[in-house]
Amino acid sequence: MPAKSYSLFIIFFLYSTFGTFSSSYATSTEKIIEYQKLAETKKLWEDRYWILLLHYTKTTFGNWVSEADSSTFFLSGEGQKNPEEELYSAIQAFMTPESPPPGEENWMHPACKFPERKRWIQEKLSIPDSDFAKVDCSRFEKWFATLNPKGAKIIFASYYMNAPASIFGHTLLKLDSGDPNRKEILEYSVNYAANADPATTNAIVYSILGLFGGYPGTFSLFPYYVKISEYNDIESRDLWEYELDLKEEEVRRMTRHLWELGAASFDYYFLDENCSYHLFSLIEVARPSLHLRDKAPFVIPGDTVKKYIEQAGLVKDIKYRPSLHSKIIQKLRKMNEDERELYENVMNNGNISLLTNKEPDPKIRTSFLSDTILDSFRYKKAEGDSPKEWDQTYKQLLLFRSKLTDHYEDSGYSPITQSPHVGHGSSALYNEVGTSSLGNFVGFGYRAAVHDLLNTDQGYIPNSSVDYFSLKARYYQDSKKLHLEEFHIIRMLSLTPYNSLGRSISYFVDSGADSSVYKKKGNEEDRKLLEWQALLRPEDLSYTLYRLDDVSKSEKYERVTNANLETTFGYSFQDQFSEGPKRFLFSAQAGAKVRYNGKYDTNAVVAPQIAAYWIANFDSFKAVLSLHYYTFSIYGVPDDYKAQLGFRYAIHANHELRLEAKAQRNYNEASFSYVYQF
Amino acid sequence: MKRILAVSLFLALVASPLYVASAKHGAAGCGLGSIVITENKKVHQVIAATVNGTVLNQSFGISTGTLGCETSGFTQKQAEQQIFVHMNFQSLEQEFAKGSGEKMEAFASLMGCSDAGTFGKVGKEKFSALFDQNTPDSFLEKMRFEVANNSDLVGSCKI
Repeated sequence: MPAKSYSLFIIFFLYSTFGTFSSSYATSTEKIIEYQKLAETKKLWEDRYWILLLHYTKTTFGNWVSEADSSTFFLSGEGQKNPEEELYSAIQAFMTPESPPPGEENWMHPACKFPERKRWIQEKLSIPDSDFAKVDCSRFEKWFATLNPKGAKIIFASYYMNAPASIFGHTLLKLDSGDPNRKEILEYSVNYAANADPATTNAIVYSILGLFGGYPGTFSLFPYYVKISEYNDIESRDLWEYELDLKEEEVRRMTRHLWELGAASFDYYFLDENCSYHLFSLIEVARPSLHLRDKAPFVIPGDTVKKYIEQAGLVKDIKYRPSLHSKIIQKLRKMNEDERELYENVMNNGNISLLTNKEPDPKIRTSFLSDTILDSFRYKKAEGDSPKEWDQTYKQLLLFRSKLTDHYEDSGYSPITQSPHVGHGSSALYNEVGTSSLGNFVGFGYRAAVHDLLNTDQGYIPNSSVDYFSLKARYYQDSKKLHLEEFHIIRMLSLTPYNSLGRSISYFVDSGADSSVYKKKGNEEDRKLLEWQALLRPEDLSYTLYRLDDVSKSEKYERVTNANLETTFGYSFQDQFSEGPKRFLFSAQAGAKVRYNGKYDTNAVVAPQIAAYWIANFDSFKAVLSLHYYTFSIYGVPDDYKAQLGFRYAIHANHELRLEAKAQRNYNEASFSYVYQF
Repeated sequence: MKRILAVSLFLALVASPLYVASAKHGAAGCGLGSIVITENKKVHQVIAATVNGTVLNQSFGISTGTLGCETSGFTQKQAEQQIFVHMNFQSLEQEFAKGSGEKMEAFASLMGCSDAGTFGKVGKEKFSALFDQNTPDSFLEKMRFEVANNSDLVGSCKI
């Protein structure tokens, strides 16, 4: 018997023996193949929705690759790079019964793990329920019923200068059940975050690792009050809520997909694949006709808020939720002279008897003042800025407050910060022309993110700046060289006013490169040599003189790019509690600077420095004076300094004109620039 | 100091029973993610500590955010109230002294009270008694007693 017919006989024999038992298996296998064929003819894997559900993006070579970095998110071994295989595997998995492996009590059938994929495949291929594996997805169903999602909001948590993770702000998603009996703050919010351990993470490490996807990011779900407590109360960050005009079915789709994301982790990239980017993905699943992610190379939370607003009819309402600190400022700005004076006196030393033992006075709203002081006590405690004995004082004041019956108008406050969507774009292009003691120059610069000190403050923290990956380059007419003027991996400046409410520290941190000017070393030696030559070889005198002339004409100074690392700390002062816009701020700081250029001061030098800032802000006009003095002379090299004065006029939030002057050792310059932001 | 606190909280968190599978759904809760607390923030540690110390045999899958996905049942409600009170104790204390506020209203609804105005009035009147021990748990216990026995509240609160 030839081998082939022999094997056929075996198959026939096996089939006739066991066929009766496995017929159901055979039919389901047939069905699976049938549906897979149908999917193939429909080219279903090319459907945008499938691409969205699996988070596929096109590589530069035109191949698909999923942004999800965990194998548990895929049903096919090649799923991460192959949408087609993944689709066939999904069809097979959803139709194949499977029981949990022993000891795996958290195991779920793929149909329960990926309910939205299943729902969509079922809809697209018109598969009757009976063709799917019988599974019990009660865990998912309970979860979904608990959320009962009907609407969604994007929440923006404003910038927080005291934590490296928060300098760009943060966005989260809130799911609303539409249940009139469930209070707003009891609803759930979806958070996507990098898993960095804040106890061991400093700003620089976080920034660098965050840039290169050094942290895994995952989705999590919290009652909204947890997030309010975290942002509003503990970190004192304002929250902005943007209500989206999504249909109930869209929200439910998105929520089912959210369950699927429970099995996924993504590498977290600070500037592109961050919290805001992944919320974009979620909203696109809700409404695939939106193309939110096809934009800039960088995704900055504040910018994404603008993007939502730009989509016609997507945002239907904006709400402001002030932080503890903002609430206090709001109340202070509504106080009359007498009330503010009393407030200041109580906060100076925590002596509440000034208020509690006071004779009734028509000019003093006791409840209003008590509430403001209570908030202030809480704020100071959260800041770690309240003496131990104040805890007792706080309790006494609470008791006093609980016995007061007078009412005051606790509404009608204006927001302390502005919504991020009115701010300028986070990326910038700088174009400058200028003149200096080393000749004229033209320059250009680029900023990846987010905000510099001369920018308009609307939508950002006033008197702060965060430059993330920015550089300026120049072409000097005299030296005919392209010169790297400055480069910042990260530069942060936070000028928070010092007042009776909080002794906030202001700080400045910079890492990257800056420029300074040195006397050329070569010139002196050349001159000496030529002078000797003039004496020793009179026959070449005319040539030697010609060379000497050349040497003295050539510039004595050169501009050098230095590696730079510096920081200063200090205090800032501003009249923060009065009504009306805040025009002026002054800051004095001290710290250290590390400079290395390999050419002059051959070793890296670490020297103390002092710094001062003065800011005048008149909306579309702004002036900033900054002074830095570096005491390098402790190494026997000359001190250096940098004095800068800048004027800015904003034609529009994204278009600025600037006049700037700078003075350093051996060097002065003046420049005019046009800044375009996007 | 802050750092030491954060580290010790973190260690307390790692040692918390959240990582121990419960009879119901295990550490994964019943939802998103497989690790319970992934963000290591102070607030989450507060929850962890709360659940750790007080809720008997309750696995609070933070990753699920929905309290083990149970939405009905007496213990479930109690756990929810407890976590809410622990998370918002300072705010509640302040709003009770005042007699009104958003967190107080949410708390009233968690206690099954439909009339937040009366709830706030009673809370303000009984302020010193409610908060005399200065712990979230004693406050909650006393408030439950009020809800069950206070003649002003019995009408508008369903336990």
